[in-house]
Amino acid sequence: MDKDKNFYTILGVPHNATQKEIRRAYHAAARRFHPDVNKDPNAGTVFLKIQEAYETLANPDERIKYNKSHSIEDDIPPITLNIIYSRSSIVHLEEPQLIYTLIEMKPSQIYEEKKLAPLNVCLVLDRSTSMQGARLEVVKETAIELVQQLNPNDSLAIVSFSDHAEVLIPSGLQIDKTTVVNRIRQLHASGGTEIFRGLEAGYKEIRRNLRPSNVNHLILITDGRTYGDEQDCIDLATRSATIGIGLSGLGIGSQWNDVFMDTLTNRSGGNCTYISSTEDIAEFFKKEVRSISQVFAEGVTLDVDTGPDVEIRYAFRLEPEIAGLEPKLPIPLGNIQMDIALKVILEMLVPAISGESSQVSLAEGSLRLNIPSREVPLYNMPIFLERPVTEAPNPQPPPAEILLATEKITLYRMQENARQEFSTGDIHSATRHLENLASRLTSLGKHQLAQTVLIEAENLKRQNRYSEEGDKKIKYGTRALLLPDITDGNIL
Amino acid sequence: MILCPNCQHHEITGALYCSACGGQLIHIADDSTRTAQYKKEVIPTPTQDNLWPIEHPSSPSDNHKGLSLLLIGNEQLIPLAGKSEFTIGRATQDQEVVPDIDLSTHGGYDYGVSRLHASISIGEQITITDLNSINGTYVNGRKILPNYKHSLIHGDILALGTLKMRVLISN
Repeated sequence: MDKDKNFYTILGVPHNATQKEIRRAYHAAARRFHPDVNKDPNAGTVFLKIQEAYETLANPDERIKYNKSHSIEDDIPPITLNIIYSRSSIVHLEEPQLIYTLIEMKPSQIYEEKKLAPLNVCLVLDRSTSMQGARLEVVKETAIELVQQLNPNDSLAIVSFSDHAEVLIPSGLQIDKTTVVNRIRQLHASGGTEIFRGLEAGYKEIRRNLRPSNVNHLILITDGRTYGDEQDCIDLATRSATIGIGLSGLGIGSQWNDVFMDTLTNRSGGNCTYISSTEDIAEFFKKEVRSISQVFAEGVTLDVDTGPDVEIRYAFRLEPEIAGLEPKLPIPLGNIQMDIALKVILEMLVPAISGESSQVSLAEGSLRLNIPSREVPLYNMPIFLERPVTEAPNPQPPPAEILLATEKITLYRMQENARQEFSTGDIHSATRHLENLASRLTSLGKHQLAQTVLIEAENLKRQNRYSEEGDKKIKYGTRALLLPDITDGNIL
Repeated sequence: MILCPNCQHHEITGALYCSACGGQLIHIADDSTRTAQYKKEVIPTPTQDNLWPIEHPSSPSDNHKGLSLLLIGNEQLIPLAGKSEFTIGRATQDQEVVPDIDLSTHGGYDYGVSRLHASISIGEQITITDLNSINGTYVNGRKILPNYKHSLIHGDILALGTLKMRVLISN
């Protein structure tokens, strides 16, 4: 075998070959040189070489190591970035301007067949008095279903809380499923809602099994408001996010505090879901567990410095789960799933362009990721957002994807603005915004949601207040406009 | 600063939608600044057997979805079958390229249907693309962007100009 032949040339595949191509090339080569078939005296040696090449290249970690040691390209990044902008250039203007950036992150092709990482999940269940009846029963049944679906490598802990917390199922212990099911069945509702108690116990369980090679995630399910311990909860969620624990939340009914829950889940880039009827609980669980089990990279964080006077004004995640993100850097973005790319849109304010600059740096830094299935899970992916400066605007319309997303995000922001105006006592503006929102929704064919918005606008006018149910329906209803193929009435 | 043409609200240059009324701020439909982007070569040449009306239903091996348009008002059904790409418009005498689906007999002219108004493609998804028509294409009362694919689902109300039809999709 020639000295200059590397594993890629042995198999006859390009350096950027996908796993599938490598496997196909291996099978073809192995068939040709198998000593049983090929009577050439060298066939055995060639066959072994092919075997060795395949074993290395088929393993993404080994492949990266091999590439490094043979200076074949640089390290193949584990994720692929695709960045599009609302305009191809920044216009030479003496006033500030906005530009939208859509960042898509997905696993690189070399990882397309990588095995999924084991789960380290804790369910934190609210069992306060208000959960009594159908709510708790459905939650229990769904939790039992979940237990049945677990893989042997997964760890599921369950914590229930009211004004105190108890660990129903500790993390990482191999308790037989019948015992687990019995313990869940015995859960009954009583007491108040102190979320911090539940979270604290839940995080403690997850930490027992905390490994970068696991997907570490806590799911909080509540139907109530917690009083006085909100800041403690947020601090705990922030600390836990920094050590790699994700958090998502489910709010049932109209009594829970969505602003608090959004803040809480935002700390790890998690998502917060609203459901109005108990029947949807099972679906939430299914979706949530599915998305956690498909995690390729968790805790993806946009850690960049913006260019001089450039400001990220708004950040919104479009996929896999829709969520408004806090535009405060670094921004936790959430997870990249094996099958669904992570898509985030940023609204950036660019200052007046002075002098002769031909290029504007919008942001520069890295995406921090934890990829549980990699030998070294932590990875920093460099990211640069920049645009050339031109005298005249490009007449091309913005990419359809940006246009469609920002249209719906505008509606979501209109209800946010209305809430904000309401809280500062500007009832007049709040009402006007809601009425405008309703007419937009009508023109989009979302009649039911438009109706809900109009009722709230009426409420505001007459009684100077929002209804707790109405404002959640509007918020999550406008957010859900970004979901593909939702027909009117499906979400409410 | 830019001014929302709908509600006169001020927005920062580069904004795409008005934050006060939700209206679109960029002038995509402004014909004075835009050149026609429609390319002749992408128009499928109609052959005798794909001129409307087409009677033969799609064969069972065809895993494409079945699509028909139900004209609202006279309740006429227009089936779209036999190929995956259809142009809709209104045939006139001296027209070089005749649309696959001709709405001239359905009052196309009076309703404001352009000669080559839109194209519909049928695949895993069914999409409609407005071909820079004069009076626009609307899905559920909403004007769609010209030259962009817009997906259609069963029950959508489609309007070419003011000629309305319901989208019927069967699997």
